[in-house]
Amino acid sequence: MFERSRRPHAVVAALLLSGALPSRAFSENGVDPAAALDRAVAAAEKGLREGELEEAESEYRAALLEGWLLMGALETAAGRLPEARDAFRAASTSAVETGRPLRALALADLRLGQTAPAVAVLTQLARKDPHDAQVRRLLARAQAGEPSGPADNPSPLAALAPAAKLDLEHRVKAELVRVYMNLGVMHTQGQRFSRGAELFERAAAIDPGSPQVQYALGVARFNARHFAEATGPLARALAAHPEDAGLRRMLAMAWLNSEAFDKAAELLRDDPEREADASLQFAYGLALVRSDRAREAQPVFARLLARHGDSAEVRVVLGQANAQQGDFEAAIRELTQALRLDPRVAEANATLGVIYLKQGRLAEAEEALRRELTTRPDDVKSQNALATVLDLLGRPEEAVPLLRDALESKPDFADARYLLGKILLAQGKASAALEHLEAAVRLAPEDANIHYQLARAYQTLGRTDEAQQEFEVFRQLKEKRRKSAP
Amino acid sequence: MSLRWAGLGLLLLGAPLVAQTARPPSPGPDLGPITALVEKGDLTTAEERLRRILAQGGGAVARDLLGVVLVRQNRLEEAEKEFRQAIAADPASLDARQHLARLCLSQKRDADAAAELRRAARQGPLDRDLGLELARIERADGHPVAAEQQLRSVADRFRSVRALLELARLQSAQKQSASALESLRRARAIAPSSEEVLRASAEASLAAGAALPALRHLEALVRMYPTVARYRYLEGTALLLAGDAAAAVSPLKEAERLEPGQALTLKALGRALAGRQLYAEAKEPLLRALSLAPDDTETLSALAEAEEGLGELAGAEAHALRALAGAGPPAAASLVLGMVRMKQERYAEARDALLAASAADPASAKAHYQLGLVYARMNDPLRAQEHVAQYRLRKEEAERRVAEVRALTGFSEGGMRP
Repeated sequence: MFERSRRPHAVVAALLLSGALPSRAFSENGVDPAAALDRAVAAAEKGLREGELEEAESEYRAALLEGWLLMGALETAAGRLPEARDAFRAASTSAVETGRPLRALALADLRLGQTAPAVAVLTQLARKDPHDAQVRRLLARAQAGEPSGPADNPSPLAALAPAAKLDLEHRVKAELVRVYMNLGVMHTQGQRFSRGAELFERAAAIDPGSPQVQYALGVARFNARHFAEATGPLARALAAHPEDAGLRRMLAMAWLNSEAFDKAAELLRDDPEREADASLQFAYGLALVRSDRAREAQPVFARLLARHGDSAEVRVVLGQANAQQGDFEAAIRELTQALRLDPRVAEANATLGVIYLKQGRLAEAEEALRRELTTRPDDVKSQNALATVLDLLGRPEEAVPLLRDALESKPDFADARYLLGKILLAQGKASAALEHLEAAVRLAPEDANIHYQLARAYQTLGRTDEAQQEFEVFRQLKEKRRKSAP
Repeated sequence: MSLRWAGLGLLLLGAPLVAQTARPPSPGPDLGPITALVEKGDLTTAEERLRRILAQGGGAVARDLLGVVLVRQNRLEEAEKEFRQAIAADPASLDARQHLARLCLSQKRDADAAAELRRAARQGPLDRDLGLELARIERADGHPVAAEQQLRSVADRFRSVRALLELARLQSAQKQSASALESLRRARAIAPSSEEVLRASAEASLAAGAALPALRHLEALVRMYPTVARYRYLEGTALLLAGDAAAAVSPLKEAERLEPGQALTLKALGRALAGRQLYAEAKEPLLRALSLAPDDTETLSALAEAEEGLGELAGAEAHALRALAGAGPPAAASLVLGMVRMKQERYAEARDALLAASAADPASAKAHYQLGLVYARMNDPLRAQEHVAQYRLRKEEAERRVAEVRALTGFSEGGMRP
């Protein structure tokens, strides 16, 4: 696999949001219900200014707690109890403090008539503070199966006018988004991209329409190398800002890395910087090759070589383009040249190995694939290809550990599951084979060979009805393939 | 708003004009209006006025402020000259020294910066960021006492969580676990929901062998960060430390699910399963752990324990002996070897191994139980009774510890915590 994400990716820019939030909804007694939330946010931002990130994070967490408690109270006041329960649950996982959110959660459960979860939560609270009389009373009621009504748990916001409630809800949601975003930025700044992405997801769940949130989420997932998951938010951010060339390129790279090559090629096709930027041109050529447009790719690579000089990586992709078009000799020439330029270049030996395998030159295939695995020991495709070669060479026992390694790294690798199942079956281990073949058939239901081996495994285990069924699927798939063949 | 993400250049540019520590005002011209100009960004006018003041005699403070103006204009060489002249005019000028140190730091002149910071620190308390920086330098240079002094100063004057965390790290490194726990207690009082503070608190408690406080911090971490494998692992480890192997299985399985193939997690999971006498189930993670860390004596002895439990005496013996041949073998290796020798009816060797196990882990009830058996076989009823009594005592202690843990976690063998 090529290193396709080596271009400098924009780390999530400083997205920290600040500034006064819109109007304030005050209750009748003049106390701002969101005062604690505001105080926590202000304290967090003071911590940021002073470089006290731990203090800032703690205050942001306190803000989340206050924000979700308010959201729960607003939902309760509106009679939306399931939503209130979700909000209280979010509050209970926001900060160290659990007393208020768990109590509110239990009350919401009781009002919903769900006494069992209420008992669980109240038991937890009673364990922490055995002297809390209110908790003990509620626990006794919950244990007796008595639900609760609005009178038992009046919303502190019930007295607010409807417009004030709506205003407060908007304000709290905006604050929650801001806090999740800032916490996410703190993680991404610390290079903890997956953790940052989780927080941006929380922001996106509250405000899915915000291009800024989608952008942050996409970039964090991209930097966490979760390319397929990055494409959705990046595409949504790009839809809001189609003029953003950097964003367009990042989305193209995300598509490329998640093997949606046609989409990557489409985005890169009209990139104005492509001709001058070797990485972009290379990515475009690669996307073309991998989307079965090798003929279009060849002039792209020719220009790349002419403009930027010879490159092992480009030779590899040219070799792959030739192989794709069935010109194995030209492919071998390009790949050999690539290895001359850089003996450790990724995929050159792997591609040679696969070509030799197709040509039946098994000893050379084994050698090439082993060379690839010397430089890239975790390359699951080469592990699987080498296992195939070893099986064909009559050394299946050597293939098994390779396949197990491949499956440890990539459990959804259908080809490896199939081959391992087939080898185990041939070794008389039908039960073990079955596990892999059933998984393989779930992963690649249209692959006739898997159904055939699965049928044989069922047959060996005496499960004749299932065997018959699988043989029938195998026959139908073969027939379908025969009819669709040109 | 702007963040000071610890870039030293940013620190320099973000340096306060008025130091963060209160000091009596220096005599000389009133620079307040010029300071206001600098803060407004009118650097040209500020420079002109400062140069006029300096032409009339000026003073160290005016020269220092001119240095700050020049830094903001990115005229660093001229700025350094002004700072040095300010220091020459008033060697006690803490501000000028700190500004000069910031300038050196921004230019990556670490030795110059360290020298200036040390001189400044002798004159008075440093700004928050510079105090932390000097502490870092002192620690890196192998001067823990000087580092600690700076960290304490910053922690006390600014209620700085960063300083308290660094102080706790320093104290832990010096094996001052009680002091480290106290620093972390102070950090939690300021930032109770900070992940870093909670993590450091849990790890310090575990290092001090205090499972219950560790579990309190880990409960919060697991609840707030459910996708972080490390916290599940630490929770499982704390439960194992507290003797609750049954409760440890679930968090360790979750840690393995979140981040598969980690030798430490696999080892702990194997130990937890073996502790529940699920020996066959324990073998798989232990073998995987051993493939990742072949010489780990704890894994070897846990595997030996599982094999002994399964009646695979040859494997148990081999693995126990391998563990005992390693550096710092765990008590469990001697225990397993003793049990194997018992089954082989080599009682004297069994006794020696079990005595070694008991000496290495005096809290182990199992070693006393086995010693009771071995002395009985060796026709020494007095010693046998003595060890049976010890066994009962240790077992009660262990059960009490587990009860304490379960009062906190709510775990019961019949089900999970609510």
